[in-house]
Amino acid sequence: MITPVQKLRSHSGRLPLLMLYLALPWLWAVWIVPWWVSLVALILVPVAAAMIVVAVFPAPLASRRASDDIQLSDAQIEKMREASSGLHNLLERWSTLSRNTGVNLESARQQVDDVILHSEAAVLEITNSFVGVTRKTRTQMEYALSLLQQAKVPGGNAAQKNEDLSLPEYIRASEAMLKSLTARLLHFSETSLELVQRQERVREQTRRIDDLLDQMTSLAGQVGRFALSTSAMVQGSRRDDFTNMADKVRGLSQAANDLSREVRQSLEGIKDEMSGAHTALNNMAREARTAAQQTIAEVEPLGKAMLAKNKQVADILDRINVAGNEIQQDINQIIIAMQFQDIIQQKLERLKTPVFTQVLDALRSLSDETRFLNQRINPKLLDVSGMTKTGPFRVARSGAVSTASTPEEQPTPAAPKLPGESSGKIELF
Amino acid sequence: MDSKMGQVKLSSEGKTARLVFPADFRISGAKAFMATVARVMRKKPEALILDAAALERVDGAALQATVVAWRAMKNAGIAVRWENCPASLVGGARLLGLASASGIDP
Repeated sequence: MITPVQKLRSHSGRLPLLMLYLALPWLWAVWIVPWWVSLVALILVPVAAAMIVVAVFPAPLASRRASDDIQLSDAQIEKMREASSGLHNLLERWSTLSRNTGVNLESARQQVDDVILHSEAAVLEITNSFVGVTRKTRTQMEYALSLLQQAKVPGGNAAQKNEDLSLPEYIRASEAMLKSLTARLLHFSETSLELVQRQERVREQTRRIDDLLDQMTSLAGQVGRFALSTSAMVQGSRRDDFTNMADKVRGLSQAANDLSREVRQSLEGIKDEMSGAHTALNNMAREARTAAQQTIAEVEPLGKAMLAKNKQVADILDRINVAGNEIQQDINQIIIAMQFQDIIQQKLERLKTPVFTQVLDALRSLSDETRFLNQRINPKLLDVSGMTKTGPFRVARSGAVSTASTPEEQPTPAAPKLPGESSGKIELF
Repeated sequence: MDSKMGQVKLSSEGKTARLVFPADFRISGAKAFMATVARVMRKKPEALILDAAALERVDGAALQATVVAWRAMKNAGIAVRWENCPASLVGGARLLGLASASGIDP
């Protein structure tokens, strides 16, 4: 049923002409009637026109558009227009959502570009750090190999020639010098052993002399006892006693001569041994002096070379240590750079929650409204957008699938809901 | 008794008797020495000093006499001791094995 206001609105174009027609009888009499009568008449003209329109004019026919289906009646079209009265607002909201989604997608694109740039920078830094680590590791290896291959070693046995000796060569030179020293010490040991043997022979000679001296002491005692007994023999004045005593004294004298000769022979032997020992000692002392001088001549430059080698090893170890510290710093940078994954995750989280969630909520709301509007337009269709495949978005919520279709698209009957679709998730296809 | 003649000389110092040996004390003076020792034992002094400072020569018989005199004094209870023993006396006594028995080596 059309309302008076709708009726007035539909005939609004005719109202001025109608009011002119109604005012004509009063225009010619404006000069003969009082002015206030003319004023009231003019005021009542629009009222009369409105009452004529409302009460006299018929209801306006329904307008049809070129796009309207000719098979539909005006009533159906009017009903559809009434049902689609909120379509404009819905489309406006679709437009707003599209703009907002575009802005959000632009923000997302910037975030993704940032992630890509950050990932590229991180990968580049990791690559450079790995290259640095490889180069420094190779430097360390070269430092270590320089100790084993070629090094400045002044002095030493071979080092006396100020040659460049590697560490193994230096060790071999030291070993050769130690072997030489050991051989000389062994020679001294053998010479000392010979001296010990000579000393042992001298000790045997002195032991024999000691025995001989004991025998001579015994002879002296016998002679003394003879002397103590001579007075008694004299008192006895027997000739046989004197003869016996003379024989014994002669025997004692002979024994003393024999002992003296043996002692002299032993002393000669000791003298020879001592002379030989003296000669051997002189030779050994001379050899020891020569060996000591040679050893000093070899050890001193070798010691200097050892100090230089130690300094060189210390320097190289310092360099290796410095390179190790730099490698550690590179590895730390690599570890820091590898944290870009966290940054990417943070950026994606920043995208997921505010952008996509908002878009999904808005799409779901609009989809619900669109479905409701579609059902209101065509009540025979239940859930017309359920399985529309042509819609740009399809939002599934608690198993109910809706589609936000374009206005040009015709809704299709909804397919029956599948049991497996009741997942309760919001999915973006 | 004259020491130059090979005889010992006895003197008394209170209750101590002193027996001085001559320079040559050998078998010829042994008999007189033993007689002197017998006279000392009759007097019974408290102590007897055997002074050998002048002794130069001695023989086996004289040393045997000193051993006998030393044992007799000890048995009689007379304190006897040697003074100024020369090397010839000590050496002879040790050579014959009489140094301990004669009191020369305490």
